[in-house]
Amino acid sequence: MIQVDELIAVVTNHDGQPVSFDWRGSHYLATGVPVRWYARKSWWREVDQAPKGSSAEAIEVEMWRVRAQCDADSGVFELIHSNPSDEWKLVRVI
Amino acid sequence: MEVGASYLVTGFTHLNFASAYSAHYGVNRPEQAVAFAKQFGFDALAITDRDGLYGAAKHIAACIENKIDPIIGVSLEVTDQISLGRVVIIAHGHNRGAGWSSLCRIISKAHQKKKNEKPSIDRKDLAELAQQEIANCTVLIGPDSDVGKAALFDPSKASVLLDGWLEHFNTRGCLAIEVFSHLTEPGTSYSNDHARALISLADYKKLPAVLTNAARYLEPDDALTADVLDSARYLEPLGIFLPQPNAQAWLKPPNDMASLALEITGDTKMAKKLLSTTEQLTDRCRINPVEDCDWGNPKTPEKQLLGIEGNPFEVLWQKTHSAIDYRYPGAKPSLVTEVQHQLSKELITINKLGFSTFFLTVADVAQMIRDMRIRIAARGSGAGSLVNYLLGISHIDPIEQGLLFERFLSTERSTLPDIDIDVESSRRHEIYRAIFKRYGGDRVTLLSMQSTYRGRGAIRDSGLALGLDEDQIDQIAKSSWRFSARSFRAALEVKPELAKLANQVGKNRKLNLLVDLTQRLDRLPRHISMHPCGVILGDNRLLDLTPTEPSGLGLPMSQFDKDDMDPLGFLKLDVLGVRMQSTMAYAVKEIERVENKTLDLDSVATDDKDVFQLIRTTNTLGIFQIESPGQRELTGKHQPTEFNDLTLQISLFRPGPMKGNMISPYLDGRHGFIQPDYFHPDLKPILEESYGVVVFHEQLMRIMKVMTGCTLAKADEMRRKMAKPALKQDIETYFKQSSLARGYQLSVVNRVWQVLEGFGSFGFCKAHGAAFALPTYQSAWLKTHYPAEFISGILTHDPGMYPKRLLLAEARRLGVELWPIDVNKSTDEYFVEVISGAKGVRMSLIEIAGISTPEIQRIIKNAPFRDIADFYTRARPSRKTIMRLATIGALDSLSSMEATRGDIIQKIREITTKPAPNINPSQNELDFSVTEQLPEGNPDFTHNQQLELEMGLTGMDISGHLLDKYLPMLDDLGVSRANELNTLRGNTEVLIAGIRVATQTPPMRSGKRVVFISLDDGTGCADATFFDEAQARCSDLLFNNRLLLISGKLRRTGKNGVSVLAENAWDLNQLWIKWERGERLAG
Repeated sequence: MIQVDELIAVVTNHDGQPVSFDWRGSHYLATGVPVRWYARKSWWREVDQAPKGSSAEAIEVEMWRVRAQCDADSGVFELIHSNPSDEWKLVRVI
Repeated sequence: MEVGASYLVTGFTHLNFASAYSAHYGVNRPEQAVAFAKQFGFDALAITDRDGLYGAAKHIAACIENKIDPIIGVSLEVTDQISLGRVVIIAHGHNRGAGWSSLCRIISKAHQKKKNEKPSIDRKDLAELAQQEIANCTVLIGPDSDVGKAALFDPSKASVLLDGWLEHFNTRGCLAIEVFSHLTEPGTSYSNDHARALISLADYKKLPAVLTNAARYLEPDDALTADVLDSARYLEPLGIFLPQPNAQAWLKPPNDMASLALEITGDTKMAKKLLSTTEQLTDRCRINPVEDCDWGNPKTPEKQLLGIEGNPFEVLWQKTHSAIDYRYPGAKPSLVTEVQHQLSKELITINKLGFSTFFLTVADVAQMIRDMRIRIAARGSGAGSLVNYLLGISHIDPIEQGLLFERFLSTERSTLPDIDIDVESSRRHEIYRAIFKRYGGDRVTLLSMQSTYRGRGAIRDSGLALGLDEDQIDQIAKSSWRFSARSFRAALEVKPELAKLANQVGKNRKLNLLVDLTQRLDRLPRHISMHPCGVILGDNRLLDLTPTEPSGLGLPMSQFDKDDMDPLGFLKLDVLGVRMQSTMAYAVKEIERVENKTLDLDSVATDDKDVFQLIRTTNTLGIFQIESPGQRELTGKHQPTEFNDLTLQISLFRPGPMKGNMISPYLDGRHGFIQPDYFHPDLKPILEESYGVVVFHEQLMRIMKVMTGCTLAKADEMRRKMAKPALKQDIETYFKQSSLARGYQLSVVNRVWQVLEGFGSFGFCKAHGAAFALPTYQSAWLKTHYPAEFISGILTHDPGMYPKRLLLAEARRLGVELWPIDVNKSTDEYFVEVISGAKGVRMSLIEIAGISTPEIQRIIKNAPFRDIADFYTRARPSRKTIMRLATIGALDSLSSMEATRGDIIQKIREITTKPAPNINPSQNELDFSVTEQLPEGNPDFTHNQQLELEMGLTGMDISGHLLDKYLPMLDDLGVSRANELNTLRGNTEVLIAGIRVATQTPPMRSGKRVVFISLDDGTGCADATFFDEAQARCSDLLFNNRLLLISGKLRRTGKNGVSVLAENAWDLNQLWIKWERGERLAG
């Protein structure tokens, strides 16, 4: 498992699932159905304030696990999808 | 997916929702949750709080209001030797309460635990209570159960564990599998994988599977509050314990839940089945509040328990009518007619409301309390009812006092009235136990209350969550009384005294967070405890209608609070312990013992001239309600002469009337300084008693009636509405139109409305004032006629605001002897003892610093003692205690007259160096010689030494007054004594001296601080007022020094109203040192 921390460009389908992405010059295509889950954050170490109604963004983060392939190179990739900025970040390659 | 799944939904209901009444777990109140559910189109909502139905009544009420169906359940831990985790148990509805009562009894059973054990229910008990031939409840086996935990990793083990449940729950529909997914990392708890594993298991075992979201908050943002609550529950900072996995446990709308079902199952047909099964269970669990919970239907003990046969109304009619002779002996025919007329009116109302049994129940309890020879008095608006007077619930004659029944009860309101009963505080628990015994444990429970987060607690728990330094949290928490936690942030910005904290908050990230978290916690329920005085009485179905849990007292208490009583139709009785009632009962007992005569304090006439004369001297220490410095001053100005004056004085001396400046016009009218203004001749009979000032609710009601022609019942309704700004306008319109239509002049109407409008916050219920005035009069009567017995009562039960040493000074002033502490005579009480014809009070052992209850008990049990060694051997006091007893002279009676205190102390030093000898049971004689030899030649204490030792060891100057030693200096300086002040002219320059017994800084209209000091010099209390300039000279002294000399000008405020307008103050001890040295004293 490799820890990564890089913003990447991701193409998603109608349901918001990643279909393909680019990483370090390679174009990866998702094979199989990506799985989404929500992981939590340690907001008490990170945020400056937490007034009521601020947002759930401080507490949890949307994660995706995608099996993807680029030519002969395939692997399982874990991505973070940040709302509302709609940024994607690659965090782990398994 | 979200759009794609909506076709699946025909309806969805959350069957697992923990409200804020799951203390330290749920985030939102039931009312919020129901409004939220309504907004998102749900037609039902469950509340399934942890361990109880704490929020259930509020949930049902909110559902009724929002027209959705309530569903009620509980989350409980189940055990079968080992813990089986938590399950949710939901009551079935529309079965005439079978589901509701099963649920109540399951919860009560779960709480029958040893102290400090968490609630949990044995699986066999649960099975037995949840099903009787048919299922009354459904148990949801979910991810937090033993089955659910195993299902994720070991499906075959889960299957075996589920068999364990199926063995016990064999009726159809008693078990279901609960499925939820919080969309956690694949393969972990609460993930889609976990949910799928449970669905497979349910299919395999042919059990229904239902979808929930195990919700504990309304919106994702609330998850942050849930994190803080988790920290408070685990008592650990965030980051130390395993937190909730994410923010998914919210009350997701129907479409989201349908999408979730599809995401979990990955199959439309399976998703549909999951959702439709959920709806089937929902329909089975919809509660009909009236049918299932007996909602709103008043419940009282069965007639036979109250000793009633036949129609309760007829019994009430009979009982009240037959008491007329007793309450109005020898009354004139006109009065009897008035009584009968009023009685009929009240009885008609009571009958219309169907409350006859309620009144008979309260009367039965009152009679039981009297039979126990415990003093009882009604408090509050209940004293306005003639029925209550005739039933012996109240001792105030409402006709004589001009009280109104309509203030207490009317057909305009159909809620069960509150009847509050005051009893002797020291015997309150005895009464609770007697009520349980009389009506049976299945008809009685205590009332509970929920304490909620306020500033201090919210700051502490938020600080704990953030791992802030404890001292730092303490510092901030201490300032929290300055603002409401909810507006912490706003207060930081505007309050100058918080500027330092605001500055810190601005610089420190965690402190900044602390502010937000504190605001989030504010008002959330924290824990349940016993209500200080509420008892619930019902019929034999009571325990089917409320779950109970043990209270601190050992007796069971309901999980519902006082606000739930009326909606649920529960009869709540407030039995308040009042120390003054204990004091008076004790004094009466002492009178009976010492004087050998019986005394019924409640039938003493309330027009005794001597009593009012005593009150007018302002020597009111110890008298109920009028002993404070402020009341004393008012007494001096007011000079009450009859019972109604006491009612007026008590009603006027409150922050509202004082701020509203109502006292001066009243006093001016009373003393003839001004002509009272009655607005209109029609109002004169109403306002005459208070010289034109509207003091009482009852007066406002009568004015409404006279001027608008409405009924008194309607008048009271309008009085209530006037307190609400939104409704006031309607009342104003009605009042003005109706009174104008009845011919009153516009100027009169406008002026009267102005008074009524401003009256809102100042008015007082006269029945309440009169109910207070009775013990005021009774305690004054005892003080007047039986000072020794009364003093022994107030010393024993300590009902007042002053230190005991001041009561001793008062006793001396009244000529009551004070007999010193003596181990051969003293007990744990103060009692009257007559020695050579002189009545005095024997001081009690309880005041000795550090003496333990067992030590006191051994002394009482073994007295009398022959000598010091005998005392030491049989009473087995600690070395410290025997030394202290000797020092203050409590052992003097154990030695010869010639022995000095020093000799006795020396003797004790000798015997306590050896361990106390054990008593040999076969030989009752002691090791010490029969005639005890004391050392000789040790010095005695001087009087002043003695006084200081007494103060140090008992907090009281028993053998004299602390000021005694200063008398030569005070005479030298020309200091006036407290009892001389009243003989001096106004504006005389005076010096007063004494022990500071009260310091008050009441809020003033001007906003400036004024300090009131009361000094006791043994002849009474002298009061001094310090304004700005005087404070500047000596403010340190005013709050810190016990002994003061004050200079100032005498101010006369009324016939017996005198106080000193202070100019300066000195420390009496400092002066004494100089005076003894012969130095000239400045000033």
